[in-house]
Amino acid sequence: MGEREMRGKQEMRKRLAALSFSEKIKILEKLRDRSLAIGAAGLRRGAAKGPGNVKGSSKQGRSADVNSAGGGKTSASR
Amino acid sequence: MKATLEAVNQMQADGVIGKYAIGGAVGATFYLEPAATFDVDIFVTLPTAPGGVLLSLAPIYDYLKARGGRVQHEHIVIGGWPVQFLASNGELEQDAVEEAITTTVEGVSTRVMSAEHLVAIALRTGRSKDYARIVQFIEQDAVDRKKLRSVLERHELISKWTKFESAYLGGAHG
Repeated sequence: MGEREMRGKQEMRKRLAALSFSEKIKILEKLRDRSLAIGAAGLRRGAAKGPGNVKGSSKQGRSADVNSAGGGKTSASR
Repeated sequence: MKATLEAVNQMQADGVIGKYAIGGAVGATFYLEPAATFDVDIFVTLPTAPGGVLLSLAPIYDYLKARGGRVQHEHIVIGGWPVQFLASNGELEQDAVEEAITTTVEGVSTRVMSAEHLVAIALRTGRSKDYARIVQFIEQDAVDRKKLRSVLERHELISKWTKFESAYLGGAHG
């Protein structure tokens, strides 16, 4: 990605971050609906069983060593 | 989301939960650009039984099921959103709920964890997506570094933060 595109992307992220919480929640709802529609159509691996497949069963007490982290499934949460 | 938060506020008014705060990806969205997520994480303080015994999350689910909530894995779907309730048993979570920020979503009052607490909880949880979120907070300058350090110190996360910094931030932050 060129420097210009990178700057454009950063600007877009700033603009999105500056929206009100209500506006951001509306975007979240659209993103979620779209992801669910894609999952329901069987276009995304592992999405067929619904949201329970996307996140683990517990967020607490699940810790990984900092040094072993990296890569991984970040696209669903970014 | 409006209906979801109204239900949670009603539950609080009815004494089923004490204070609450939104955490996770939805909480992070308060500070960052929206990031796709399928659920809402709500950290709650639970009322205590006589003698100071902590009650379980079961009354929350019973209350919501009686009002049309649908259980889906570890979530309960309210107002179209799968919600995961997490008891704020640990000191960090208690602190995060206590110091949460009051805001509104479509006119409904709600509470969101501070950016610094979201970062501290993400650091402790330690999945790759948590680390990615922390990097976003730092890159977008969405945390008060002094306050973050204080939260990390208070909850004995400095050593983990130092490792995180050197692995992902080039050791120049915090």
